[in-house]
This record gives sequence, structure tokens and C-alpha cells, in this order.
Amino acid sequence: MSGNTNLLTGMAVGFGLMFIFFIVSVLSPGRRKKGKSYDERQLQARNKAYKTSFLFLLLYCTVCGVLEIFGIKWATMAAMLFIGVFGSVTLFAVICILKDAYNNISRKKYPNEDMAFFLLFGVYYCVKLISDIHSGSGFFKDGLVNENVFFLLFAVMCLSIFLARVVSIIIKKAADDE
Amino acid sequence: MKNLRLKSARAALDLSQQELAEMVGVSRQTINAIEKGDYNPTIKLCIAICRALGKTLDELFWEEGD
Repeated sequence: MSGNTNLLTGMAVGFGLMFIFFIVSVLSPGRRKKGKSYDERQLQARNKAYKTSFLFLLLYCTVCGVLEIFGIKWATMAAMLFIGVFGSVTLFAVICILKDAYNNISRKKYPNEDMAFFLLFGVYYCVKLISDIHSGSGFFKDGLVNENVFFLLFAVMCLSIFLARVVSIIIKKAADDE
Repeated sequence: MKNLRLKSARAALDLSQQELAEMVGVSRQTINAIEKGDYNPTIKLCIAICRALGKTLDELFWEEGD
């Protein structure tokens, strides 16, 4: 129970920080400058990314539902739900980054701070995950994936976004050189 | 199919992809994608590019033999 409380507290703090960051960035003077957001190619790419991530989530929920009907329990409810959510959000972000549709046209290039953030957090969650597994409190117990899978999900999400940005930079460099 | 006419019209005015993108209000990658033939722009964007480069739609975007 105390483990769940810690997890909930951690999640609440994390989401709280994200919410504060979001409010600050929306209200910041630079953001309020009127300017173009996404161009037509980016909007098209983002629409495809929305469709793909939605279809992934749909397929995932269908598979989970079918497994449930056949009595195949592989994860706790919370773990199942968040795996689907994280998976589709990560897929959306990765597709947008690879199609150069993640940042709007007023942001000319990916800030290095963003990349450092995702790399650091990805590595942090990997280390946390490995230490948890080592101490016996991993995400797989009694044949079920449990809520400790959040660390794996965060690590996968952060590292996927970081790698997608690296690949995107390499592709852009190759295109510039052509 | 690559749009070499767009590329040469841009080069003739000594404009980079970034500069042309800023003139027409899109990202540099969009101009790059149009020149490489990876993206078909809308007519609105085609017209904006033609105006920026001082060319007509036929000169930049109509395929030979149409």
C-alpha cells in the first residue's frame, strides 16, 4: 500500500510539474506573439500521426479485451491502461518528430535542452528500473505486469523521443548536404 | 518527382530554402520536401511560392506534357 502511495505521489508531482510548466509556457510573453503554428505539410503529417496512434490504441484495447475474455491475465488493470496510453503518445511523438512536424515553424530547431532532458530522464528511469529489478521489486510479479512498469514506460518514451530527434537531425543533415 | 524548376528559380534569386520558406510562411523542410518531390503543395502554397519567386504556376509546377 505504501508502494502505491509513493507511486501516486510521484505521479501527482510529475503531472503537477507538467501542468505548471504548461501554464507558464502558455502565458509567457513570447508565446503570445501572433505567428504561424504548423504549416500544411506539418498538419498533414500530424493528422497521419494522430490516426496511427489512435489505431494503435484501438488495436491494443481490442487485444487486451480479447485476452480478458479468454481469461488470460497478463497485467494489472492500471498497468494495462497506462501501457496503451504511453504507447500511443510515444508513437505520436516519434512519428511527428521523424516527419518534422513536432515543433511549429516559429521554432527553427530543436533546443539542446529538450534533447538533454529526454536523454537524462530516459537514463534515470532505466537506472531506476534496473535497481528495482535488482532489489526484487521489478514490474513482473506473480505472472502479472504491475504498476512498476511505469518506470519502463517512462524510460522507453524518453529514449524513443531522444532517438527520434537524433535520427531526425541526421536525416536533415543528409538532406541539406544533397 | 523532383521539382528542379523550383530549385533553379530559387537559386537564380540567390535564396536559401530557409529564406524562401520564411517568405511564404512554411518550414524549410516543406520547401525541401517540395523540391525533392516528397510533398505536393496545395494550390494556395503554389501561388505563394510563384509570387515570391516572380514566376507563373506553369513555369514552376506544371509537369511537361500536361
